[in-house]
Amino acid sequence: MRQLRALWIRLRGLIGARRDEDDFAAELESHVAMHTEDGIRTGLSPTEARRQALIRLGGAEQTRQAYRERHTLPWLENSLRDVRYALRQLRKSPGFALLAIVTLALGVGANTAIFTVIESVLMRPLPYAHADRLLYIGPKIDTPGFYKTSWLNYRDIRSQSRLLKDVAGYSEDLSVVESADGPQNVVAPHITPSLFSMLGTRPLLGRAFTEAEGVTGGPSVVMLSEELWRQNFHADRNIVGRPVKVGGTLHTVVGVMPASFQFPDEMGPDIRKGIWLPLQPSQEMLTERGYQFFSIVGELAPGVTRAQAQQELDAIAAHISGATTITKNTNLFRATPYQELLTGSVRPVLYALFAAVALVLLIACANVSHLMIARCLGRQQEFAVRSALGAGRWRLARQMLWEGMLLSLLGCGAGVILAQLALRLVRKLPDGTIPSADSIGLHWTVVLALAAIAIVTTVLSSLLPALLVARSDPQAALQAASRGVGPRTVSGKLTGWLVMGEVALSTLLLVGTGLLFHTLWNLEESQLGFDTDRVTTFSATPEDAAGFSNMAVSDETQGAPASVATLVYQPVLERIRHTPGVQSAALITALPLTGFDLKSSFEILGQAKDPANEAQARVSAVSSDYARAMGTPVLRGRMIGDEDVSTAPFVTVINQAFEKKYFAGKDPVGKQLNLGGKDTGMIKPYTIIGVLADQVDNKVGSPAIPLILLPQQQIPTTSLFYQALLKTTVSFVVKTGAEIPVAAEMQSVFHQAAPGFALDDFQTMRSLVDKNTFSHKLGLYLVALFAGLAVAMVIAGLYGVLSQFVSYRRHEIGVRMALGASRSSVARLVLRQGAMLIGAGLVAGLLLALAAGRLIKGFLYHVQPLDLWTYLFAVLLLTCVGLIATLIPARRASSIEPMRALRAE
Amino acid sequence: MGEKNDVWQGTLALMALRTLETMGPLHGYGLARRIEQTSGDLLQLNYGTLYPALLKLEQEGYIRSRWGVSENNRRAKFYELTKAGQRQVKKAAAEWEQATAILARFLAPAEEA
Repeated sequence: MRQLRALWIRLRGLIGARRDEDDFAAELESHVAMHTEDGIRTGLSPTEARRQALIRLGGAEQTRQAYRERHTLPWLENSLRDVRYALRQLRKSPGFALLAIVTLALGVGANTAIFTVIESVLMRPLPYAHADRLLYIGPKIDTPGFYKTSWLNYRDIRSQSRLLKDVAGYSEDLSVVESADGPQNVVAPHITPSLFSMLGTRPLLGRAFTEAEGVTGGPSVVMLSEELWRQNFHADRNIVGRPVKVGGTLHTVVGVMPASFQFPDEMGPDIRKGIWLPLQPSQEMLTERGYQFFSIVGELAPGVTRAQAQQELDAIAAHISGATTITKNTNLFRATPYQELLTGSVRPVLYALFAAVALVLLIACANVSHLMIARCLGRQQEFAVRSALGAGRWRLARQMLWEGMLLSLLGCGAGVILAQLALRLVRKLPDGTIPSADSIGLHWTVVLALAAIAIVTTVLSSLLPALLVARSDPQAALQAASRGVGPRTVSGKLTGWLVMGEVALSTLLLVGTGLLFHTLWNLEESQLGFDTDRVTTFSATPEDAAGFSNMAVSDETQGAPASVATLVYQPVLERIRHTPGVQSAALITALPLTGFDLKSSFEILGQAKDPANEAQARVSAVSSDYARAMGTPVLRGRMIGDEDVSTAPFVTVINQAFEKKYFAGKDPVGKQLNLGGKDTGMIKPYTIIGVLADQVDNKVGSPAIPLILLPQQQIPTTSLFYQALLKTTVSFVVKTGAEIPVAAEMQSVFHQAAPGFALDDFQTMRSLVDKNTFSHKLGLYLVALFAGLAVAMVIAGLYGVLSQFVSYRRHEIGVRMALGASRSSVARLVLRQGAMLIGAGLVAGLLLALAAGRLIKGFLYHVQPLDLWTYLFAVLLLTCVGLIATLIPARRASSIEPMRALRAE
Repeated sequence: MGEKNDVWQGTLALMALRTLETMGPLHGYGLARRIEQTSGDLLQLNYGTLYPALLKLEQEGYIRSRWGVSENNRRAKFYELTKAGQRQVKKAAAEWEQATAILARFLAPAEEA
């Protein structure tokens, strides 16, 4: 305690040092005076008495120093002096200081900010309890996807699996919710009650479904999403327990789920204002294994690997098909991590990101190091003088240390502020620009790790030259003749390595950036397969939308009800086409990029069925005029037209991907497709009459999936497809002659012809595309920004390093020229040396880039990791920058007046 | 061995405290002279070292100082013991006595094996 008190007083002493020193001087003066008086009293002369007093005191100045040291904390005082000196030094060369601080700030701050945003855009970690152990279980089909299976399979997996902690399932569906504000189209997945406990999300209000609600004939209950509850029910806190009309029948609201709960996430953003219904298995579900409209998710038990679970699933699959081992006829399952299926495998992207962060930081550090080293070499003489005047090596080093410390602290501080500001800007962006921007927080671990690395490198690089200088004989440095830094000195070699290192790093980064830019370019230019100009789309949902879960194949083929396509959609389309300004209009059930999707297995008549690989394709009902409204070319045959009514021969149009996959090289026109026969109610086969060019389906940039287009009027009302495609939400596309809003006209058309329909989602095709490509594009823009930042830094650094390297040799060049070297030979000398360093760096960098190219492969679109143009571009750019960076100083070197270079520096 | 001894490390503080305890408030010069007198002029104090020692004691809170007027009407800084200082004198004196007693046992002529 006493020590602490003393320390505190000494610390305080630092502040009032001046006044206390005066006080002590007075005390000493009185001491000497008293001593002198005593001396006089003993008979000494006043001068002698004073002399004696001073001798006994042991020297006034020394006493004062001892007192001072005790009074304050000498090491702290010294450090403060160093800091003040360092600050003065930095102020004296503001350009250097600013450059170093900005470089570090960008290296630490911008780096972190970009990393944070990209990570949250790309990763979108799912907000569920054990998201990392969540598996999606579907039939084994060659390309991964959210493929559906049957409820019976779900039941068997759930009852037989031991390695899965729990298994839950759902079937996607759409419905209409009625509130005081009118009908609202919603996505309405039916889910098993176990899903809630598995995902671990608590309802905002009320409760989750109970097991008793998840059985056939269970009570009609519903859970609302937060957004729907806020928008359509005005955030009524008493909603729980009240009846709400869903799909025409009354359901009791049992709970409201928070906005963070968006399961099933693959249904897209619409789920944010959706509803959830309990899965109550229908008769078909309970009896038909071919009734494949069901999705299964499972949670791995702790400690169980995916491979183990997959093995168990294989065994269950064999068991289901009635065998003990897997045979040719076993319909296998595949378990894929839910997150991976949703966002694609992100690990390579994450690694690439880390690599990019590390590279940018490395370059920043290399730049700053070089700045420090160059500065120190320039100050060699100053150090020599100070060393000659008696400054210890440690004292000199300490001073440099403080300079480095100060710089890096200022740089990192600025970096943290920069990162914070950048993230604040990100949060200020309009809603939805970046998914869940509000929750993007600064990655403190990343910031701190980067800052720590930056500080260590800066301090080390500030220390190194100081030690080099201190070790050297001050005498030599003081003599003008040895002032130059030749290529063979320690510092010269250091600079050489730095040049090479920077060139290598820049090559790596430039190649990486080039590949990403190329990808960005390809995405921008990627084939949509349709025009986006003047095309508006909207969705319509019948009041009595059936929903997939209540579908049934009707056995009566006689006296089947008339189709909504003939009764409503066809007349409505006629009216729309006659609306002024409308050029063409069509109906499509699986509009590109909307996420409305129905996949079905099929058979090509006359072709052998491959049991291991079930043929699946997207199926969509379509009206006449679709190809024209969308501007998609018909490649073969003809498109579906008004003549394809229910009584005409059944026809179908397939897309190019379908043709490629199932009719490699053969003409598909005239071939027949069977879409399930009795199982689905599609008794009659469909004859292919044409091939439509590919359109993007659910994601811009991913390859097109085989598609079967059926005339809307030729879908039997007794089939499953009728309810799944037509008796639910359908999309309309309207091509107008000019940029005009059509929403009001469409509303009035429906109001007159089909008043029960809910219209929604009015938007242009352009905005649909923009929305879809946004997150990918944003991710790429950010990555490019990242790399651009690094490249700019590299170019500046490279130029600095090379020109510095030449200017070190001014003196040597002067000597050479004095000895008779010509200007051109001097320029050649400098150029040769620069070229050698750049060449070596380029080779090293290209080798690195080749190795690293594999890492970002997953992120590239239609670009090979060994993209020739990118490599050429990187090499050319770096050679140019390198040459310019050497040429300018080479010219300066060759124009040196030898005498001036020798005399003065 | 010289005629006069330097002050051993660490003992100066105790000497100063003890002197202040017996003599009451003293200025630096007076304190130095008093210490020399008490030692029977066996100790030769380097006066310069006294002041940092006093400063240390003051920082530790054992003594306090104020400006006053000396017997010769000279402005001087007077030091006096605080309560904590009084306690410290007792404690340090006891410790010192114990230490010297222990040492004395070693230095005493061996009485028996």
